[in-house]
Amino acid sequence: MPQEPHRDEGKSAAPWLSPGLVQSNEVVMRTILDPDHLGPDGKLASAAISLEDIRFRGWSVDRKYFTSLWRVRLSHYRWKKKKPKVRNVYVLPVPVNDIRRPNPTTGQPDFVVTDTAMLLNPAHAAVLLSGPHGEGAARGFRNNLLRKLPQYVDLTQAFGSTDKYGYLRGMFKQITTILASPFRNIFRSMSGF
Amino acid sequence: MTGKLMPTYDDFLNTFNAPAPVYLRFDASSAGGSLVVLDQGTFAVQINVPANYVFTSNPTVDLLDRLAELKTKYSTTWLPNSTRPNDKAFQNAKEFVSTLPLHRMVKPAIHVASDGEVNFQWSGADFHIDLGFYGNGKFSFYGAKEGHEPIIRDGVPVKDGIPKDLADFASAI
Repeated sequence: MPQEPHRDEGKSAAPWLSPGLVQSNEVVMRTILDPDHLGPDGKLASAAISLEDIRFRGWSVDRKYFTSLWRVRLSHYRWKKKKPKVRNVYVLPVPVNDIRRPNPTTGQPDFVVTDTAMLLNPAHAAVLLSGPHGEGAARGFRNNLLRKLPQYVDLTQAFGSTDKYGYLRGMFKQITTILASPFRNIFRSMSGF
Repeated sequence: MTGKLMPTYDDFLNTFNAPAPVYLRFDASSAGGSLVVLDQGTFAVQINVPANYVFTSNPTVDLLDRLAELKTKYSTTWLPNSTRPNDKAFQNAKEFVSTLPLHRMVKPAIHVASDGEVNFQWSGADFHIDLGFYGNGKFSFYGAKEGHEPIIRDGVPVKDGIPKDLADFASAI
């Protein structure tokens, strides 16, 4: 059984790299690969979201506020290079509020969105089930999440002219956090200054 | 004796010939072919179809072909942090396909997820079924249909096949 994941939205999984906790008014983006993630009708397939991700690892997303068109385009380019059979790459811009919306039956959110910033990728966040569930039940939650998701769009449609500096903003916050953290001495020794 | 027997479709002409040889002939004029059933002591069936005739697809074969296609496609790890489905997962999926009552239920879409799951998905206007294999000889599923309680199960042995109540959700009849 994999290790119990970090599900606390009030804490960052990597506080020394975090540009801040994920706010409900943010938008997160997930890459969609055609044809791997799409059904015959062009809609998102269930398999676009792996059970392992929502149960244990976290379904990786990028916080739009801390990334930029060029940064996402670069990662898409790398993926396409590794997997030439990918026809198209899209993104799914999802309001965090929609993911966190409580289940009408339980009154509790099914999913959490946590800050999982990584070195040089301050925008990284994860979508996880709010509690441990079996495989079959997780399938049901996955289906609920799929129904909440908006239509995927072309990458250029997901970013506006005001989104140019997202990655710089994220990196600036990350560097500020590193310098303020007790780990600064480790990073200093790694970078040689 | 020549006569017309219970025409089911306008484009079928059924002819019964007697006394010998006795045969029953079905002409599918729109398809340009015919089916002749001969009765001469030993039973014989003769089917005539034009060379360019396209037979109606077989859903079981279609699904097995799809699994073979996916097995080839995902034979290597396809994305960073992804797991390719193991051979056992495909084998379990194949065994499962052979148990599906496809004469009375719609055909699923099959995909591979990044955690190595071979996933079967049925979607309709009022129902959704999500079922998958990881290669441990078992499967789990979630099924929902309007006006019904969702059905959720874990660890169902592949040999048991699809439960009837779940198959009814995706009924094609």
